[in-house]
Amino acid sequence: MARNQLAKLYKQLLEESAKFSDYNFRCHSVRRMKYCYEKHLNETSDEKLEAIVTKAAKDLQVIQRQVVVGRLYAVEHHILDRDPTT
Amino acid sequence: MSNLFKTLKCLNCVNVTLKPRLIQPIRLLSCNQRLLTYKLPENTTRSVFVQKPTFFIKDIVRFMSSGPSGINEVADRVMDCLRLYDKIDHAKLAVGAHFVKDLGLDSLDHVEIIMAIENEFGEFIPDVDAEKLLTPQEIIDYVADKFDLFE
Repeated sequence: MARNQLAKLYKQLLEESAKFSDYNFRCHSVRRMKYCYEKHLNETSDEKLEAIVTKAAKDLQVIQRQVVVGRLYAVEHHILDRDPTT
Repeated sequence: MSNLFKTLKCLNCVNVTLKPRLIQPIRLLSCNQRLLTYKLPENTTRSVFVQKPTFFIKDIVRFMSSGPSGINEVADRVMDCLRLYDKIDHAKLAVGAHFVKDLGLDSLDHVEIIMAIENEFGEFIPDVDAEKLLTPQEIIDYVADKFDLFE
């Protein structure tokens, strides 16, 4: 049960992280998700997995909130996000 | 103001020249799932449509949408996606290779691959289906099925 749930959460976290409008936040968030998940890849104890799921769900909410806040207070695009043709 | 009139005139011209020979508004699916609709100008005569067979409309939709036009294109795009993923060994990558057994990927990599495929085709893949897609061939079949393509 936990494995399925974790994979689903992982996907949600990555998708949500990709929505950051700021380049730095976006890349940091995606990189950090992957790093944290890989660190706990071989975790077997149910207690720890439970704790990870709770934390991941909380993080997901934080990211969702911050994505919205980031859009409300939009600043100039990062140089890597700019359209080179304009 | 005169500028505004000019642009309006331009738009009008475009409208006139664009007179599409399509019976009804056509939905074009772009990569980010945005739906564009084109409506017929009201003064268009209907006689044009009767002469044209329906596949004409279908061809236009295929041509302008981001969706693949054949099963070979699906296969090419899926394999390109997989080649771009840095953890996959190009030498071992084959259509029938199993992600976990042959390519040595873990469940997290699998999730990322499915996400890459979703982004490539602009199609959502539910988790229930995603779990079953364990070889490139299965992904190709699944995507082709979604777009109603067959050999």
